[in-house]
Amino acid sequence: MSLETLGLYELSKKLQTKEISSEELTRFYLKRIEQVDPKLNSFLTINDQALDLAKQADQKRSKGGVLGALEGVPYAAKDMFCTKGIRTTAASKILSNFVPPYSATVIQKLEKQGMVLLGKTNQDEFAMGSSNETSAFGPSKNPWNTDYVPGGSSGGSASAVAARLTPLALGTDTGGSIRQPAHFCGITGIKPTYGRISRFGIVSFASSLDQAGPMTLKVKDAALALEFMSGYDAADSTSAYKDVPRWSENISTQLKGLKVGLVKQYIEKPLEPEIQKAWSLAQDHLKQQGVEFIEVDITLSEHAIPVYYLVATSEASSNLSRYDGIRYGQRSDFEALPAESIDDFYARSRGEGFGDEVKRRILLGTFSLSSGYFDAYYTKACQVRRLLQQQYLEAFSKCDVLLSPVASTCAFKIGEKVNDPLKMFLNDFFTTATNLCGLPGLTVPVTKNDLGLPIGIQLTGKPFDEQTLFNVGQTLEDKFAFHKEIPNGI
Amino acid sequence: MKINVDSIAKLARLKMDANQMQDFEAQFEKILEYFSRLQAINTEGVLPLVTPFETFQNLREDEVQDFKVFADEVIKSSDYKKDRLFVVPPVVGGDS
Repeated sequence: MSLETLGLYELSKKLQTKEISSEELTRFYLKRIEQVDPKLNSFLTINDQALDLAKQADQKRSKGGVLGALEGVPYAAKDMFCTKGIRTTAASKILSNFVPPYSATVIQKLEKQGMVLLGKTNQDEFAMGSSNETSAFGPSKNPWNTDYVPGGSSGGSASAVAARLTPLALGTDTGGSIRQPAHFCGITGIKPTYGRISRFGIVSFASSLDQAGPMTLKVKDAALALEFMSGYDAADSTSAYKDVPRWSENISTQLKGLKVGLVKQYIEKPLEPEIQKAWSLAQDHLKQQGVEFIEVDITLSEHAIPVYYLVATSEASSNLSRYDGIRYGQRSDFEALPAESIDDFYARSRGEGFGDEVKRRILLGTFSLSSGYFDAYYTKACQVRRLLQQQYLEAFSKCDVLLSPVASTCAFKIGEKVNDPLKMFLNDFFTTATNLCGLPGLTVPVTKNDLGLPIGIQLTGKPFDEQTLFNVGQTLEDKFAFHKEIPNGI
Repeated sequence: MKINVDSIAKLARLKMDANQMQDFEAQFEKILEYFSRLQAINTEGVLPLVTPFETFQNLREDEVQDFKVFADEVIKSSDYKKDRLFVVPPVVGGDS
């Protein structure tokens, strides 16, 4: 049995039937991490309790105790999720020694189901970036070619899943941070509807946009993990009072009559031939399954990037004001050089602790919230955000789901865009509107380009209709079966 | 449009060197020029949307919860503490 070919769902079944033990499985992944990860840098911290947790799960199973639904299955979490007693850095120097006193709700929920945390994955600092190059601990790399970025910000999670270092990695998605790295690394990743998953205990970047989600090899794995991550949480008042469906059991690939929308503005946009090719392949296959394609007009989609970057940076500048060097995190050496004032105390600790991209975004956000500019920048962006959401909801009155590219390119070389922030921002063209409007979005891998780098496709759904995404995603997976391809250069 | 990075950095409590501020100033000029396309959109009378679903309003019971144990845990993870207090260096003078 070759464990690297199996996904989360299959592994959980093999544990249930005792074909394999949690200890064997956990050892397998820890060994792979030890062998492969020095080339990928996808993990920042390994959980030294992982094997003990696996043994406990095995004991529970052999004694016939009450088992969680995913008892003994290993997983990894992006370093944005607070983990009690385990260092949580958000890939920032300012949190490099931070050990949280509590775990995020999502982590607690997966613990309750018996899952075994292998470790914490690399990412862009505070999830700000599209390439994983802003991490204070060096970039994670793409397992299909280590000269290339894995995408961002959940780049370590995507790289780890693609390299078979874990069957599940948690990501967060503020403007595409699950979907874009899933596309770059050839895996499946879903950002659910805003409010599906509690944000409690996840390091805040932009509170009205952030959502957690699972990153896996297969669609059914993502559906299964999402079932146990979702649900209302009294600790997050923006989490939704909604039933959590059994998506994984309800997946149906009978798509006849389904209305799939294609955004007119995306059709008219000149695309890289390889991205166009993947989009066409997906359309051709869905057409054969009897779906009906409908062109929808979302004129404001061209404006999603400026709206997104104004909203996200404004919220970030406010959220990141908590890092002041007083209660936790990096503090400047004031014994060597005393602070001149209380503002100097804050400014020096923050100036030393944050990396360039984080500083850039705090400054942009501070500017757009500042007196004299607030109406012209922040308020204007929020007004356009409402109009954009109206256009999306109008489109969804005509179709059930949207099919689009995930990003304008495949993975790019490390260092290629790092000095041009606007160019980096524009790479998020197809993903940010989903967050601004609170919609669910799924990436499914479809094919590879001439360089052997993966290309995914994006499905965007109506609020709280993740099921349609899984149904269409499964149909594409059945056809293209990208999960059968394993990166072999590492 | 040009941003005065020095004054924004003061508002954001971020200490940076002059070279970095100069780099940022040039980048911000380009970014804001791109963002200025929003000004052409007619938003008269449109209410700002600050969160995707405004109908959520999940309030919990306003009950006192014991914070003492948790506070001890919070203090424990700080590098600068004495008993149950955070320690800060004496700061004299200042702008605020």
